[in-house]
Amino acid sequence: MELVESLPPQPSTERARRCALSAASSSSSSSSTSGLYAYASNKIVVVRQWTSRACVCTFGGHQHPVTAVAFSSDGRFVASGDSSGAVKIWSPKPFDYAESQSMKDIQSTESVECKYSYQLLAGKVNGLSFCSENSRLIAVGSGSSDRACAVLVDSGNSIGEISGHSSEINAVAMRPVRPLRAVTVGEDGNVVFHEGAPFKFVHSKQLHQNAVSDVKYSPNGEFLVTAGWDRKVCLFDGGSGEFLEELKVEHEGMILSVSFLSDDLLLTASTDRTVRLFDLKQKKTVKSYSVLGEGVGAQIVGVQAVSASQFVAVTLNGDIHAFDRENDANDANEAKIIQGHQGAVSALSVKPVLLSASIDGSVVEWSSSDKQKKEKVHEGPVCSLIGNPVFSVGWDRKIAEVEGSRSFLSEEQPVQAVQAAQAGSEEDGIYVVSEFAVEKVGSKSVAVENGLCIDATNEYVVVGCGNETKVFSPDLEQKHVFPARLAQVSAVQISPDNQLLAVGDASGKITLYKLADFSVVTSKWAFHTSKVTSIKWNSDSTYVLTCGLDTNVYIYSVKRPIRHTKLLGAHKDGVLAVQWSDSDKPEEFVYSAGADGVIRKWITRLP
Amino acid sequence: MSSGIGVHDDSLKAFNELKLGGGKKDSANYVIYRINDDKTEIIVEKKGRAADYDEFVELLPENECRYACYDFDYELAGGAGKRAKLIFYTWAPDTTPIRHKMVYASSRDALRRALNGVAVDIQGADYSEVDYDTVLSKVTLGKS
Repeated sequence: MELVESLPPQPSTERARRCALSAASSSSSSSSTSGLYAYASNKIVVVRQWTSRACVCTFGGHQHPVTAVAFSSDGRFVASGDSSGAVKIWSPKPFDYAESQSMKDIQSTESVECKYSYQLLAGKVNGLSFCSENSRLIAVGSGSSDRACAVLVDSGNSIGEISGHSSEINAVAMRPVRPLRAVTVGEDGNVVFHEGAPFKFVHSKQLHQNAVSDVKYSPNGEFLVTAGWDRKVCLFDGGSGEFLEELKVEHEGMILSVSFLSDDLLLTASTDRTVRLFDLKQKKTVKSYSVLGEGVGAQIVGVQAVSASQFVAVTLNGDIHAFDRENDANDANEAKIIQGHQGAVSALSVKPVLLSASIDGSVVEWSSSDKQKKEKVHEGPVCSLIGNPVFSVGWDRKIAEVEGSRSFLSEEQPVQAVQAAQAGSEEDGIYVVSEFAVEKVGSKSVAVENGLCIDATNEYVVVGCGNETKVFSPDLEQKHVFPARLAQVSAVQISPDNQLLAVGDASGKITLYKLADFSVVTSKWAFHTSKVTSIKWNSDSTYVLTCGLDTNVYIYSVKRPIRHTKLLGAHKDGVLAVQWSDSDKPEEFVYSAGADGVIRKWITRLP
Repeated sequence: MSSGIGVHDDSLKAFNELKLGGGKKDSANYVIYRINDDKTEIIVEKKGRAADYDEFVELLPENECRYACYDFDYELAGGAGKRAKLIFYTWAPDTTPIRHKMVYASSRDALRRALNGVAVDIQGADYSEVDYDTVLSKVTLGKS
């Protein structure tokens, strides 16, 4: 199966912390990487281009949440660091990539290989910076003794000592021109200058009253800017590190991130929900950009210039606001907002449009254009998206309708649902299974033990309870109990023609039963090595699409049960939902979504 | 420990035919063995020619144990030519009663030691363990 596109998750954010965000510099030699920016989303790093909804690539090489990302100055490499102190260096595109190729070709390249992997720190990595020749890398963060490490990129050998901080180091910047300088800022309010290489302490400045959150050099290396929680922005001479003056940016909240748009134009992002553009020549704020939304969610935790006129700002709720200065002329302060999930995607629906729901309770509509619509529907994880019109069912005991007009209605439901299913049309009823009961919403409830999964049609309701699979009539009269399996039943699905039932369990085995006489058709579908998370029939009842926590997706054939198509490693940390596409040729594409928060679309290869 | 179950002469003959058949178009490329109903001997259940590997795997019953031999054809990576290897299968699905599995496990050596020239041994408890790709990676030691 071949990848068509990946819809990536949004950046991971933390309150009062600069989010990990970096861009290939606009002056980089190769045009193919300009306009790319990278950010961390839980354990993966996402590389995107401007406002397109599909990502260029994702990097899944980290075993722990990623906390720092940095592009090399030529844009060919990205360094990413995680909360365990591991730093990986990789290329966001094929290494010998011909510059003549168009951007579109990059999108088909999803596999990203790690080039170098080093364990540099004993704690979280907060900041990374490449030198102008891309041969040296400094990583800073927390750790009991070593909070920073300067190494050669291709060998990992140490090139000096970064010292002078008494607590966690928040950010590092290396001077983009010769002679080499490195500046680190920390939680202790210190700004420390180093000369190199080999790097050694020169002097430190205690100008900020509180933690310093970010430090950046101007692209020509002339100036250096630090900003912190005390709302101060300090300007230093890039070469000597002498303090020049405090810039009057006048933010009303703490400043978490700074970025240079050009040699003279500085962007500062603050929790007061604005990004300010400051002109270093005129010494004044040229423009203030505000983001949509209110409250804590709209606090800006990261800003990054992407090209000479474009920049992105990330808010605490994970939205990316893309600003283009060329719109300044007609005074439009409008940003294009890129939305998506911030956590694992737990449910997918393709009718009438692609909808996805995640464990943070939000539902995102991916219409065919580059516009996403995100709504926080549930207080807890969403367990199912069912029917057409689509209902979302969550752990917060709520069933909400996702209408065409996209307003959300709710009705109370007495039990905490584990999974839900809809029988045929809306009138046939919605069935919900919880740990202790299976319920036809609004009419009847039957007690079961350890309810785990459910499926319903207008003839049968099938419930997985512990190791047993129970078949009910639509009025919840028990009809049959299948023999107990060796592991807990984790997914059940009745074929659209009501003839067959596929039952998957926590050991990865799937059994196909005939519903007329409850006999076994086949138990040959045993290719998953871990819990089967979802089973979906195609409309002709001839193929089933399955996914599991083993990160794999399989398509099995009913006609020849031994035949299958496999897709290994579809999502890091497991696939949680799959769907056949809803196009004219129903088996043309499949969608998959997983614990990494990515939604992927694949060209189907039928077995 | 051996169960004391013996091997019928026909079982060895069938194996030798398979081994010496030399991949002729009409010669057998698989033999499936089972233990007879009296549990005294290992006999040939079926032998013949399967058109492809999946056809052979489909002959293994879903809920019963078996032994099998298959003449496994494969293409070397990088166009380095074709190879064939004799593979011995011990088929014991998870769903079989434990008593049956014990009899098959303790009688396996009697048959296996009598067969010379087997290149690879495969233990299968479900169909994913006897899948073409799984067997191929074992045969080629993970190189393909």
